[in-house]
Amino acid sequence: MPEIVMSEQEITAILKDLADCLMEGIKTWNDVVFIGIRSGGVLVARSIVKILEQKTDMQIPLGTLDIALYRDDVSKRLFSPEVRSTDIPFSVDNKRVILVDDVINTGRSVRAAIDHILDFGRPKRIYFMVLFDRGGRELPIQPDFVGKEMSIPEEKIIKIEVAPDGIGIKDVIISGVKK
Amino acid sequence: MNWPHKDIIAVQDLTSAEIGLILDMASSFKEISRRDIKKVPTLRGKTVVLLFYEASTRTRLSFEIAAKRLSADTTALSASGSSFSKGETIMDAAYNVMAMSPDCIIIRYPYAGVPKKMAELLPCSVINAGDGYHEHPTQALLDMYSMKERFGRLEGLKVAIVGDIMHSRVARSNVYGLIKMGAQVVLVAPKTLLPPGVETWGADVMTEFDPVIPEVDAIMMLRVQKERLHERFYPDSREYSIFYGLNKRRVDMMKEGAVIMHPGPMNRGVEITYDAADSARSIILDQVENGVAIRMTLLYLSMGGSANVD
Amino acid sequence: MWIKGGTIFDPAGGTVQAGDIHIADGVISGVYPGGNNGKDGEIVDAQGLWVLPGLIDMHVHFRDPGYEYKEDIVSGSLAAAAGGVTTVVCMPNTDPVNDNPSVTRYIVEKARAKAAVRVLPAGALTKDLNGIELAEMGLMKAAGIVAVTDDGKTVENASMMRRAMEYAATFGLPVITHCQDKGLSAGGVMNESALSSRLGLAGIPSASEDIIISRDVLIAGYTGLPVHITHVSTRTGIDIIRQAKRDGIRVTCDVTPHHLLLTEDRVRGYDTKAKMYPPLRKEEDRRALIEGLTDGTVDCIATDHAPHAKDEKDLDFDLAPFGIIGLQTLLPAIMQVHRECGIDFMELLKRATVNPARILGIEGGVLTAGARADIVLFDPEVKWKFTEESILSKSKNSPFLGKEFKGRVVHTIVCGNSVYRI
Repeated sequence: MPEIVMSEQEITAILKDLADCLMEGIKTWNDVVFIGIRSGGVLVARSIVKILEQKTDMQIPLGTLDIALYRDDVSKRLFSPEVRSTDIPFSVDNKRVILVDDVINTGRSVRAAIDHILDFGRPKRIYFMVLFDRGGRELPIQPDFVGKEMSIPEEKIIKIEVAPDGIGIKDVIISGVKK
Repeated sequence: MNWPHKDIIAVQDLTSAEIGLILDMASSFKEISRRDIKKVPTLRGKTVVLLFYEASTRTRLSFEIAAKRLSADTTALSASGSSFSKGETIMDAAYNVMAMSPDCIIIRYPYAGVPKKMAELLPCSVINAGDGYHEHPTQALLDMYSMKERFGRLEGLKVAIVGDIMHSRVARSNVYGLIKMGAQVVLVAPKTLLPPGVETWGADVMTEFDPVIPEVDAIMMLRVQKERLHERFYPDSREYSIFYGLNKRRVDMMKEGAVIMHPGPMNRGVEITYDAADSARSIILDQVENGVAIRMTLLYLSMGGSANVD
Repeated sequence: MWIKGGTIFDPAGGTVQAGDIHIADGVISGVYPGGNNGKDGEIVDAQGLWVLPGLIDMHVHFRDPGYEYKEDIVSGSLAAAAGGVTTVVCMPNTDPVNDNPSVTRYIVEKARAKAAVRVLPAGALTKDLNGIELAEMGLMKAAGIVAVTDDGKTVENASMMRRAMEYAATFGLPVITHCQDKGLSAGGVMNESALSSRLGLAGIPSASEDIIISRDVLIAGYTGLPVHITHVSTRTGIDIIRQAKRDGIRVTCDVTPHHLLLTEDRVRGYDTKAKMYPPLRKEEDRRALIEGLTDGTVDCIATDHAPHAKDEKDLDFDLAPFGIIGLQTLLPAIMQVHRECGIDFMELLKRATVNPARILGIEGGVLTAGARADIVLFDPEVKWKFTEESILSKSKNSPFLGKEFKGRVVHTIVCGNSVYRI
């Protein structure tokens, strides 16, 4: 049975903390763009950008990234990645990119996402922000901004649930056994 | 859905859901070709062998570009430079190629059935790039994609396919696919170029071109094989082009928004005139561009990618 | 030698009875309904078996001389023996063509010395099967041919066909005709139909066969001479022959077991073991052949045993040669037709014994005292699988590979000698 590990209220609080951290770490916002990794990262990126736009009173560009074609496990059929489109409606050249995902585990998705972004241009810097760090890294990759660290058994799946409005995040559940 | 096929041999083997999925996914691949860096690492380390036992420039080029944009390594072998002419059977050639462990073999062959046989016997993926008068699935899929891109749908479209239906694998694959996707197909040809049993294909069959023109959303002209057909199936190019060629007069009869297609290479002046081929209705170059996207999609799907929609 | 306790089928007399058969000096010396106490010589226990006269297959290709890698007179005759066939007529399209008495003598002598069964050559109608010059039919007849044919080809010129039939009749030689209009069938590799279009294979229209059947039937009618149409495969072909027979034209015909059991559907999958001429046709054609067997339009069943080496058949469907082997599956196939189509077994047996014997003017198909002791013991109930290992032919190109048959030849005797025994 899926188990709710975090409620909407808790998530809102974490996002707020993350926004504060970002405000402190980034300082100037005119060259900052956000890119969310499909599909969980897009939700998180959207929520955080909304908060930051209020705080900075600026329009912050937001793109989405589909990493299916950049995975290193395509031929192993470990995952069954659906290929959806990548949509980055701005140039990343000389920008500071904040790459967003919902969960970091092995680090392989982030590696793929970085490769993908580099195919679009040459950013000045890429930061990585994640809502949850569940550990279990297989690559030397660490996030710059972490919402919460949680130790979750390897066989469990962690997933963020979309709010009924289709935009926000409802809650976070862990469930089942990994394929 | 999980992609269940190791090979792409015939549109006859695909369900409408599978065709729909290919067409949907192709857009993501098309986007890659429009980037500055037109390459993704998806099939890094995969070897794709192109065996072309029949002259073809654009299909081979299209496959090669598609494979390279997915980072696969490609090697092409064409009939002239191969041992084909030395009496080696195609299955010998296939086993020899297989011994070098390719992940995918793309084959064009002058006789029907060989890609299917190869797919049954070899462990790697086999993609049919056209076999005899049998099928040319990638061409039909790119044609369907081009129409869908233009009209937003295939269901309810009316498509005319005109010319040498008898000897056309492109026509066959398109008929099977379009009908599965809910389009209506009209085949237009003199009776000498209609294959036996064409009435069982589910398409309308007409011998007169003009009445069909204002009715259809797309007109697909087939290449006339001058060398093969002359003097046997119709009298000459002049008479053929008058009755079955697409010219300015006929283009003007087409309904608003209707498009002109051709799988290429064109015989300008025979089945299609300059003003028809180059008219604003022509999506012939879109077809070529989309060919790369469709072939990337199929390479991705048959070599390990999947399409699990959650 | 005694064959004891079997069910004896004598198609010449049309009788089926339990009993014993005594063989001496290569001849049946006595048939004893109900049994006999005789004990001299070898005793063959035929309890539960059918005792049949050796079959006559009037259409085989033994490829000897010239293509001995596909088959030769020895291997072909062993395959025949294993199929219960004790007499074969081998077609003249060898290399060199059997169009002169030297080739005929080569075949006759090699067969006499080495073959397991009686091998009777058919000579060519025209030299080198060229359709232009008459072959030396008279000399070949003297050397031992029993029929003339350009099988594998059709004599294109109708006048030439007429002359060939007239000349053959001069020597009392039956003419066997392979019916295929060259123009209409050009390039074709399977039956022309919706399926051929779907498979992308060029078709052979049934009309290409029917046109020549009509032509040869009309020549036979016009000249009053006999003609034998081999491997009829179409409904219309059967109709033409049926009508011709009613009209008193001296036409006879044979069909193959594969056309009786298979249809063009077998070509799906591009298996070259389903490629032969005439091609496998539609179900309605198959049914018409069965109908023709039932009403007597079809006189004979012959295999058109056509061996081809594996590397030849392994080519693409378009390029592989036409033809399949059939000797070893002849009787089991006949048995299947009997069971599935409800045709009396004796009637079918006549089509592979007395009928071809009558058409060819040779001895055979008789199980009474004084007849040649060419006898087959057949187990009608045993189930067996036809595998490559069970093939005695040099070539393995059978569409029935892997098929389970009910009914198998267990013992074949030619002139009183056992030539095959499980």
